[in-house]
Amino acid sequence: MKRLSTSDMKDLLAQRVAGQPPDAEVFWSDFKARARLMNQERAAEKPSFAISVRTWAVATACIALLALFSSWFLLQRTSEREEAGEMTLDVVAAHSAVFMIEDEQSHGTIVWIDGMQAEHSGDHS
Amino acid sequence: MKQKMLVAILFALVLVAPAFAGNQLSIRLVEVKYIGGSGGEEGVGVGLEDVIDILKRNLASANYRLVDSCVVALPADETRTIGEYTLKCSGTRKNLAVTVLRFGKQVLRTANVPVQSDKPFIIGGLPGKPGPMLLVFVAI
Repeated sequence: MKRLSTSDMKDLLAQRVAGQPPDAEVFWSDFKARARLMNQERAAEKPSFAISVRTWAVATACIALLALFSSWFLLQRTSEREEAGEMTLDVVAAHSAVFMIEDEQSHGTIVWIDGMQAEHSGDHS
Repeated sequence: MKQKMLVAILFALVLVAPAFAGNQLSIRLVEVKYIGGSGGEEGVGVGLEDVIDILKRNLASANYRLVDSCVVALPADETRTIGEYTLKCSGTRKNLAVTVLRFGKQVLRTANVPVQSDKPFIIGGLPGKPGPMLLVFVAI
């Protein structure tokens, strides 16, 4: 095998004259012609149906929260309208007194009717 | 996949369920048994666990025995018989109207009564045997 010296290599390189770049117009027309041979449309991404459980959970939680908030909001609006009325109690049967007790802890209400006569109720015992 | 969807639906129902709570009205007829009076202690407090504290706090000198109960859907527009009493219920849990009759005769009527799950509405002193009776209204 023949070893090339540095001077030989320089000679060989000098003989191989670099090809002149083509004219820009020729280059681009060639480029466009080649490009036309290939489909340049970007392939549409196929939707993935493999939705993860986490995605389902997040979506469900969002819908549930939305429903919860809507229900709460509607209930609040309805409550505001309904609470405009004041509670009334009309004891028809004969009685001596009516006591109203508001429980501080539960905020429940006890109405105690004192001395209500059993005769009125039709109890003939 | 169907199993996952089922789990997701159940999860959603659990979250949404509280918004629909309190759409029924529990009505209980309770006999007041004065402590030291005649009669045993049988059945005292049974079925009244959620309201016994409020009763004991405010009407301490008595025990309570559940006589009868019923459940009415809210909003209500129906008539129910509970023990010796007939109740005509109408309206929502925020403005319930109740007419109480005993043996066909009107005893009392209320309007705009708010009933909530944690705030019982109790009418006491109603005539009964052997002692006075209570009507307990709670939204459930």
